[in-house]
Amino acid sequence: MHVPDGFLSPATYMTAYGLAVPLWWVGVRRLRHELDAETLPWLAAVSALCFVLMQWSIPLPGGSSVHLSGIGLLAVLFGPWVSFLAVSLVLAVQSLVLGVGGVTTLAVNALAMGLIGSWMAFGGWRLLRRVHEPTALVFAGWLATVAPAAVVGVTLGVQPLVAQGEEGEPLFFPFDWEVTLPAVVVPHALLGVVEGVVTWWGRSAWVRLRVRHGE
Amino acid sequence: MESRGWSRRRLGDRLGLVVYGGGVVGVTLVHDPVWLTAAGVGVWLGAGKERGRLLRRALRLALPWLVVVSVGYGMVAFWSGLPVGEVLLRLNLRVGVLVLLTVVFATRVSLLRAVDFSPTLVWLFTMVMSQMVLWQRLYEEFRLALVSRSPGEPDLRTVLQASANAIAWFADQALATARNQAQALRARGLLE
Amino acid sequence: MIELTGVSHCFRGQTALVGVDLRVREGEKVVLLGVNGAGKSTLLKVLAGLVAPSSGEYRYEGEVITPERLRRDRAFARRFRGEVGLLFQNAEVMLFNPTVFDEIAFGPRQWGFADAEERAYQWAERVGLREMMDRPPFSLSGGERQRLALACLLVLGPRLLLLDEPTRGLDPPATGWLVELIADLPATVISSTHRLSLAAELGERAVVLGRDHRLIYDGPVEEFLENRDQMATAGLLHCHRHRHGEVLHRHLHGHDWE
Repeated sequence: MHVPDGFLSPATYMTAYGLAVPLWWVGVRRLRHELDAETLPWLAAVSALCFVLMQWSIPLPGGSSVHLSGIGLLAVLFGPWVSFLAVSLVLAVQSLVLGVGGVTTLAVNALAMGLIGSWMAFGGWRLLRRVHEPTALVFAGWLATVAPAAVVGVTLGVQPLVAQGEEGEPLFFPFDWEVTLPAVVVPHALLGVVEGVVTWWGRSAWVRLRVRHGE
Repeated sequence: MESRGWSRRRLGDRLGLVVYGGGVVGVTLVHDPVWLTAAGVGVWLGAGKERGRLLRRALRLALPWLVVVSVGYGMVAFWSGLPVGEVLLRLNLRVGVLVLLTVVFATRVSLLRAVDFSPTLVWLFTMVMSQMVLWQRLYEEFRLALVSRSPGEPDLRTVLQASANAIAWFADQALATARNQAQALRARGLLE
Repeated sequence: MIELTGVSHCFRGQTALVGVDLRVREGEKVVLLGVNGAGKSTLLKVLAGLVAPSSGEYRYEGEVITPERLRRDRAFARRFRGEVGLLFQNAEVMLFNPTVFDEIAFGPRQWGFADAEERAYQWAERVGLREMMDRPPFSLSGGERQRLALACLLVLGPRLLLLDEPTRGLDPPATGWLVELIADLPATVISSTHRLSLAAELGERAVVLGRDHRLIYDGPVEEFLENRDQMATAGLLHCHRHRHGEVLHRHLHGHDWE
């Protein structure tokens, strides 16, 4: 789902950075407030976890496989702010150290997956957990996959509208959102189910583990 | 005491970071295919001895996206009579140059040295990266263990169940690691 | 039973094995020695059909084994995976079920044994985990996890058991128990270790990987343990100051075995 460099216009990615930078700052401040001196170790550990989750591939019947995003699980386990910062950090390491993913698009990806994915998952879970916990968790995982896909679809889709050459030809990503939105969202709506089940089972396993540790 | 070599290299890495940042923004501001080609050739020549390998790596990363988008747009534009040639040329060149630039930067410049004005950032990147390497190896072990304990391809339910449990283990490890690191930092007088 | 011919393994520029030739007969107890990084784990993974040799050939019961073949030939994979068990160096990577009971019963259920539950209880009893049947495996201690992982393999009645550092995390009584267990098993057992003190306990035949990832010794354990030069070449001895009565001097030695 990572948008690579070169598909987004400067107006788009600059706006995204303009939004992301203050949010990163707020996130770090909030974390410092909650965790005091342990903010950094927390961020490092959850980021590494996030990285592993993004590598995780689930083989599907029929020979194909999907990569998890793990964002739903991170958000319900550690809260949306930690999740947002960890996703941003992993994206930064991936692009700047491993050369995978985009740098100009880092802020867009971080906002879509990290911020919106985490908050939607966290919100969805909070909303439904009183009704039925498993449903709430599956929904959280599903939202964490579909919401960022929708944001990415729209962001790509507005490119031909906001960045045109002299004759109206697209300068960056050439398809408008009528094409991108369904192309990105529909597959993710299906993948989101797998993500949802992993979020549900993963959290249940974690709770079981924690309860036993606490004894 | 820092060695002279280290500080000279650090200066180079910071310069690299600045040049890279400027380069990336620059490439998204230029729309003339001639200039984009020139930028690509410039980056490629500046990539040093490993330029062949780096170019192959960049192509491997960029091609899947480029092929899908180019073929798709080519067909749509052909049927509806939109401009094709220059749009696709520009798009492919731009994405190609940017990916190459990033690959060259990631190989040639040490991010750790470039950000070492902030001990916090250096620590964060070091911890994240060392954990990433360690856990990636463990992830592979989890995968192989499931294969070796299954009579055939494990079914989706087993895979999901095993993944969820392994993920819970990783999450638990993350907590333990965070706690240990906080203690280690405190023992070295870094947190208070 | 096992035939390796000129097996080398190289992954992402890192060499793990170079030209290994090895034959093991049914029922043998082999101990695989070598320093960390000599390629012991890789060799065991090749034998378990998890890692393909970069060159050379591995035959099990005369059949060529590669991960590709095991993926293609389902019926054969089912038999092979049932007969060959690998205890991973980090035993926790083998544990992914919600409870200890499900963990031990996983294999028998997958292979469709009618008495899966019964077997699971039996083996839980034998490894001393009967009281912990409904605990999550990850909440166990290191030694308990090691025994649990072992039970998961033994419950299938394997013909070939590959143990990667099996005494890791075991206290002395548990180590003693494991040594007895291995000696009594009817299966062929290949165990790796870098602890010389255990070499003679884990098998009668030693196979030694050198620091250059080649096989440098294959023969009776006792003979290897008497040959100081060979142990030094393998990197299994170390050197530091050392007190003999009143005299302090340095020489090559292996602590836990002298």
